[in-house]
Amino acid sequence: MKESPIICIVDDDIDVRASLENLLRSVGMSVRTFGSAEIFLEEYNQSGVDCVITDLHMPGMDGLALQEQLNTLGRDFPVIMMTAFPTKSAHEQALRLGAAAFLEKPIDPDRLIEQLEGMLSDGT
Amino acid sequence: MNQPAPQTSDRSRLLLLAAGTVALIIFAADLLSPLQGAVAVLYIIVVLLVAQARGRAAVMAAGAGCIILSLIAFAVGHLGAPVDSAIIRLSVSIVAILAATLLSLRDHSARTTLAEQARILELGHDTVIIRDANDVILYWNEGAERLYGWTRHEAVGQRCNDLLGCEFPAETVSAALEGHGHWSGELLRTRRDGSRMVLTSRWLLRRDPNGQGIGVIESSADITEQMRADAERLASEQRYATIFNAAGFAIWESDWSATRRFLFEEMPPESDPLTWLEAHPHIARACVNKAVIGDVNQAALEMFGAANKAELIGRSVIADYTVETEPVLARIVAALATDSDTVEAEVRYLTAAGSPIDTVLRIRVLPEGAPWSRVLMMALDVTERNQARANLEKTSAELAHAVRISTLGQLAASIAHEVNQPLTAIINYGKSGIRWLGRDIPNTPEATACLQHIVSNGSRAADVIARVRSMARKGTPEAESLDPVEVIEEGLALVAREARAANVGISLASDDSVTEIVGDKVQIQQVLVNLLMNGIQSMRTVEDRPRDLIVKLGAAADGLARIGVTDSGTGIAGEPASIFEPFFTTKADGMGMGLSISKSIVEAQGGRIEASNNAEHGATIAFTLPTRSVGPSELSRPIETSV
Repeated sequence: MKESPIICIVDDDIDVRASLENLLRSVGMSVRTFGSAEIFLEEYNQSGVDCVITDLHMPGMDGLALQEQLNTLGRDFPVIMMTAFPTKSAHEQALRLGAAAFLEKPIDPDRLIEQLEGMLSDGT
Repeated sequence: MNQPAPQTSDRSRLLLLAAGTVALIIFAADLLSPLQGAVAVLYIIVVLLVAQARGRAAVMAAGAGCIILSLIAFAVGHLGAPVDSAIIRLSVSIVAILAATLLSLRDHSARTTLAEQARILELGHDTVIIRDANDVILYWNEGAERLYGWTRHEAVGQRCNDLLGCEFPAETVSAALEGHGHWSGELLRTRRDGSRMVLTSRWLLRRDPNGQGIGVIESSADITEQMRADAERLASEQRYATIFNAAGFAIWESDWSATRRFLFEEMPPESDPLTWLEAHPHIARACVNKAVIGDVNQAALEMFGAANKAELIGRSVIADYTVETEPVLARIVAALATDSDTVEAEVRYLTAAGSPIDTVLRIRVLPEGAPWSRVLMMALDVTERNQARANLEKTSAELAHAVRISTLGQLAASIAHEVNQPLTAIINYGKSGIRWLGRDIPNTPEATACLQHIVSNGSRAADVIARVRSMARKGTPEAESLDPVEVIEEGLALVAREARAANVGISLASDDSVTEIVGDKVQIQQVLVNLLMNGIQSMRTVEDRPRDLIVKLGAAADGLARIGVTDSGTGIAGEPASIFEPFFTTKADGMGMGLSISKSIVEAQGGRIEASNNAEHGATIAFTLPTRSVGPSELSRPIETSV
């Protein structure tokens, strides 16, 4: 795993972003947060991303659409989907689009960290 | 002293001339003639002639004159040598002249009186007919001419029965006339034009000096009209009695004259009756207690549960059948005292069985007789109406609650999400905090920051729960003073998630002119949420422009606050006011109750709601609310006593 992997968090809720950021920083990761999928797409630096954690339901482009877009643009990082409304169809679609994980809110922080560490060490 | 009619003045002059001539002749004879008889007695003729011609004064003058002439003649003939026989003759003559004079004077008086009495018969409106024993008309006055249509000329000489077609109880009449000499009663006659009429008649039997009946004097008056009026009045009274007894609502007649007397004895003059009575409720009650029931109708018996009229008649109008509300009594008496003739009030009575009935009481003072002696009280039983109204209010409240719950259901997903966010954050921060503290060198500042975030997120969750709880609360509406901005912002927070999900921008625009509104917070927020959700829905299909939902807060006329929700959607098709009708919905799964309930809520708070289409895009639904607290009772809805 890189010294300080860069995790991008995309969620329209500020408290979720802030708390996740705090959490991941506490385990030594670097975090960048984005208020919407559009903002993320505009600002992210392809090489500077090690993982994207995104909320599913967001106004404008939602998480699944973001995933599709990232697939189209070609990504080399894992995408984790999180949502407060885990429907079966959403789950299936996320997996089909290549999500590395599909997490239900409220998220279990320990589990998240476990999964992240697992993904990042496997990854490139 | 009456003078004879002008046309006889020629005759009277002739008579005077004759009298004068005769007087001279007699004087001459008396003076010159050697006859031994009492020539002077012939002066009687002179006096009689003058009496025919002139009045009392002339008769007396003639009498006196003749006596003087006799004396002169005597003096001339016998003064020197008065002979006994001559003196006797003179005395006889004087006595005769005096007698003739006096008799003439009496006759004159009698004739005058008779003439006057005859005129009275003509003056009266009543008809006078004098008939003989064969029913032949002898006298027919002017009144008879007018009434029957026959002139005097035509009537006199006719048989009365033939002329007038009389109908009367002949045997009774004859018996009365023979027995008492008079009869009075009613009879029917026919006028000349053929119309029948009813007369009231008095008949007197005319008798000759021997006491034999020789005919009838009658006086009659036409009572046809009066009989008709009487019959109508009777029919009218019967009609009244029928209506009174058959009316489907309770009526009772009562006598309030004792009330009036008592009131004016007790109340100081110059007082305003209403204020004074309200200040002395026991007197108001005592006053009304003195009003006595005179008659009741069937419906009143049924309403009070009385077995018969006797149970109610004679009692006070508020006897055992108690009137509960005393302010009403004061108002009733005060209204009557200020000369209203009608008072209406909602009054609660207790029946004989003790069950309460709500009535709308209408009291009407009839102008007949002594003041307030005839008062009609009419009562309409509105217990059912009031009960239905109470039920309706209860049902309304329940429906509003149901809609609130259903709205809550609709928002459930949003609410769950809203609670989830802070919960997620709390868990995250908690774990973070542990990790920060678990480092070799514990990072206290970071940990502290985490704990602070935990607290704030916890509060955020608690707020959501509180909002949800208040939405679900089923309580009676209360009015309180509220900060409008806070109310609106909370409402916006309730729909924030929905709005974000629908990509709708929501905002509050306030001109700061309104700092206070009065109303029930939950209900106002219900209305607001309803309007916001509708606004969000209406912009579902909008693609070419921003989806903006603006809540505008400002002042309206009459000191009210105005809250308007404006969207940039598709607007309202058709008549904007129709959206407030129950069951109006454009959603396939919509119930259509939200806006009509919102309307009832707003109106119950004392405001108005209206919808209109914006000039450019979308619609605005705005409602007004009171800003000043006039008293909490203003906004609750008890069953009111109506004025």
